[in-house]
Amino acid sequence: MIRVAGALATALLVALTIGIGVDLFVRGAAGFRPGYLVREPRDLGRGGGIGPVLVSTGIVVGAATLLATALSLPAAVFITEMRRPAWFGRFSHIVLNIGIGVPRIVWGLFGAALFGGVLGFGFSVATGVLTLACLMAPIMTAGFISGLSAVDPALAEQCRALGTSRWATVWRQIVPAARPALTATAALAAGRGLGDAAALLFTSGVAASIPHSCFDSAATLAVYIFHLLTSVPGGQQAAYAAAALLFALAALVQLAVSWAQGEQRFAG
Amino acid sequence: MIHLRYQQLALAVARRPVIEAVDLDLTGPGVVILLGPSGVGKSSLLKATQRLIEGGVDGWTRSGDILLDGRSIFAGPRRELTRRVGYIQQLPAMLMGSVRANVEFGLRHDGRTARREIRGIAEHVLEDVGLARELSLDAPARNLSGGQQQRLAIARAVALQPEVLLMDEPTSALDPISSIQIERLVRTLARERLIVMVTHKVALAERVGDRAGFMLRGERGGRLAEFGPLPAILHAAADEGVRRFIGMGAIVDQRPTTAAQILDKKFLVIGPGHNRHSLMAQAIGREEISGLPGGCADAGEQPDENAWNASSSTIDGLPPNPAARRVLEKMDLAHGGHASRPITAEMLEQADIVFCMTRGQCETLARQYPAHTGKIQPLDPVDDLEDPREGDLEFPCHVAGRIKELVRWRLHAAPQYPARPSA
Repeated sequence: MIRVAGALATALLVALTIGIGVDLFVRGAAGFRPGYLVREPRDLGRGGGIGPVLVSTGIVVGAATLLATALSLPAAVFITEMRRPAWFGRFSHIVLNIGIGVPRIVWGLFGAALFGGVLGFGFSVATGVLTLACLMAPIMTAGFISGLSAVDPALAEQCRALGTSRWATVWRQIVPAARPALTATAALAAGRGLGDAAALLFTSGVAASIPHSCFDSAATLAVYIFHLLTSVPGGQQAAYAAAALLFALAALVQLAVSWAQGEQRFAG
Repeated sequence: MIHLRYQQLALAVARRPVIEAVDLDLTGPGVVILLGPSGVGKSSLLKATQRLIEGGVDGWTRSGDILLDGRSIFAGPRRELTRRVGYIQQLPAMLMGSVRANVEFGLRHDGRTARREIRGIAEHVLEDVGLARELSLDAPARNLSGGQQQRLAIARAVALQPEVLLMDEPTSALDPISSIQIERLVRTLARERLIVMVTHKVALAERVGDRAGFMLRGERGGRLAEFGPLPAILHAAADEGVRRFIGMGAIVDQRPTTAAQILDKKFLVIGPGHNRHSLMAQAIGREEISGLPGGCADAGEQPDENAWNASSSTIDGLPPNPAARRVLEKMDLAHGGHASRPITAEMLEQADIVFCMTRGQCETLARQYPAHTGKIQPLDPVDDLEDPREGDLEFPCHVAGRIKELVRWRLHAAPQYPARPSA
């Protein structure tokens, strides 16, 4: 009974994901014109290509992922590997979980107010990247913590027995040993960033052109889709095409991670 | 001359005492063995000696001191200690990368070895432990067999040229051949170092040890019950607790048990849990006919199909197939001679001494057959021989080897074996 129910539920979930992908591609198909990926949008996005948006997406999501990693990895290492009072570990864990639970639109408002308003970056790549990194960092830190905790403690003990410094132990042994889990976490967070519109709508803005400095406004794919749907009359067709592209990108990130982890496993 | 001294060392974790006031004076070079049942703090003592366990960290508290050549090991930075004292884990964790990288890692980060010397030193120690001959030094360390990993761990530690080497059950998970390699290595290393080794294997202790300490459970954690030359401890322990432990189950029948008498009897191996499919019992059967090729396979080695069939059928009392029968005949072994079967009163009647694998088994058996209580005793005087619940055949094979060793040791020691002082 439970077997059947479980199998059905699994089949449903798989079918749902595949279904969304197929639906997007079928509906979006008309939007794919030659040069769609490189050309500039025309007619408020109803025609032309999507090139600048793709570039902006790469810049914003890439930079935010790097920034969040640079912030989260040392934090996770500190929480898992360093001597610290037990209450601090518990406390930071709770706060991180709250951070993960904060709705994206709230991060968006916060980012727009702090980075856009107080720091005066306005609607810009900088504001977007900083806000997105804030949103991704708690997710990444939590993932990094579980990845690092899964490393056999005997490895750290062995390094200690050899008299190796904590620094070398962590960066030369423990982090490399946890690398598959860390990569997966970073990719998961990047996926979130890729699909996020709420946090970027009020921060990096909706300009569908290639940003020339970090203080230019730049729309990522998700924001662009939102913009097409809400502010461009007759933009539905173009939104579908862009959504199909976004779906493909997200799938690509996940596949790349699975592939990289598979390589790792075979390399021993 | 190396001098390691424990002064009233007591350890506790989360207020639970682990070791109570140990006083111990060790001088090297040589091999000192720490014996004792599980959970009496042998490993903790070893870890404390390298400050892997330290008061005030992870809930540990310590009182007393450990002196290395007269100076407290807790004074000064830990790095100074790790240069003089090496520690080898029971199941050594392999570092990232190749065999070579595993040895070079410690040297690279010890802050006193010149860069250009590192490669040479690593190759030298890997040669010493015999790995350089066996495999490519650029092979990933994680692919090594258990014995190779243990030797790599020794190489890693020795590369730093410590005066004291602490080894936690270095052969506990190894096949007999790898064990012997490690034993030889230990003897060689002990020429100029003090080696402190925790082990369960009495036979191993006798082969490699110079002196031994026996730890038992005291009121406030493990205590050092006895220290001295190994034969003295095993055959004429002064401590009542050690004597009781070694002679547990005790021989009421005071006739000297000779080898001939035991060998006359059917070889009665009481498998743990009386389980016919016990991995250990199967391995014992295979060891019994270990003259067969692949009787007990090493890790990664495919055992001989016919030998397996032969040993399986002799253990289970099933008819062997023709090929297996030929193998048995060639070995001059009667089929069915080793079949495992339920224990009967008659079997116990016939036996002079019944060796059990675990203390729990001894107690159960004594309850079932009160008339034979005096004959029943654990085979291993130090610890229980447990059947692994899972895992490959490597481990039970190793346990089976240990059982054979113990039987040999029992036969050898039988004449001087201490009878329990009559109450």
